[in-house]
Amino acid sequence: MAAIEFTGKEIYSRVLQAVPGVSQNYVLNLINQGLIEIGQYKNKIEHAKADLVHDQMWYTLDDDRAITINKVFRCAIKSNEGDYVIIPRLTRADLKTFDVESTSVATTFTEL
Amino acid sequence: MAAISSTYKDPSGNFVWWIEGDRLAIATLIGDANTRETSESSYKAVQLSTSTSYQADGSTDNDLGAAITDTTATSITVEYATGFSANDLIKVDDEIMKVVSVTNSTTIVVVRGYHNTIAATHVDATLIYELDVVTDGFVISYYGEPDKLTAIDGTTAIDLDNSLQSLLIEYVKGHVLLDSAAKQVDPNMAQIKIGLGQAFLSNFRDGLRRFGMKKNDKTGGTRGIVPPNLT
Repeated sequence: MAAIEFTGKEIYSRVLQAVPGVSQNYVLNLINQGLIEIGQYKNKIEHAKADLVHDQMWYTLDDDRAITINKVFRCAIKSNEGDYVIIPRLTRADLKTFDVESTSVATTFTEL
Repeated sequence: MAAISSTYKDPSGNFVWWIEGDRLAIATLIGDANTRETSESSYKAVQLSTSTSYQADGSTDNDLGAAITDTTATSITVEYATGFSANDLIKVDDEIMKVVSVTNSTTIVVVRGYHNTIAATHVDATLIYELDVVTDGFVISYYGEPDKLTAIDGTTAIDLDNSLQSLLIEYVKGHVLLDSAAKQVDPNMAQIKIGLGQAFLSNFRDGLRRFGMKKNDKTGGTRGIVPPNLT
């Protein structure tokens, strides 16, 4: 266990020292509010995989799914040999090249 | 299992990706994907080679060996099960199923309603189509968010980098003190709590800035705008 790794109970006990008598539910809500605020900063890199589907260009990244995807910065696809090869990101200048015909498909991502 | 065509042996040379609104696009510059070609350039959806592994007896079709009469059954009867393997994706009518295992020569176990399709009933002898998919075919890396804390107990650790955990305490203490100050009758006590609360929140903000840049929201800019036809 790391030197600093708090549980909700430990945070609650520290808050009680500052303000006695506050409720657990109130502190729980504040903890989650703080986590949302911290989550707006680039401090946690995650990876997720999904199936590559024939003839499908668009894959939906909904934030209300199990995996929240705020900012994708890298993408790799599997080669015939089974290796994941990083592919380049199209720059903003090229974004006129989007598909007006196909619709995106809600995609099931699995966190790695 | 379907595979990326040998033409695309080195994906990095031919494939690109980009974000458009809440969608991720994966496309290629070569190939013959006429049905999904972009309107203004030659980016196309990825084309995968097809497999004929289902025709275990050499016939051209594989179909249901018995009707699927409810929407929850996961063990289904097919004509030839030996051509299937775990993680294959199949399509029966409009429903996509994921093969979990092969029980015997005519029975497979599946996950119903895969890829957000709706599980439905199907009549006997309905054709089974292979869905051309590379299972786990791509991986994305992204700036994630900490998981929500569901209960205050002594076992569930906060889903945060160690260096940020003390900042979270500052955040909670700061808000608790400010809220508490609002309820104080004694103005001196209220002033003390306000000062302390603001100090905690200031520490929180300063600390957070040291650990990383604020993320941009998902942006695409051109979402929903059709490129002008200048011809």
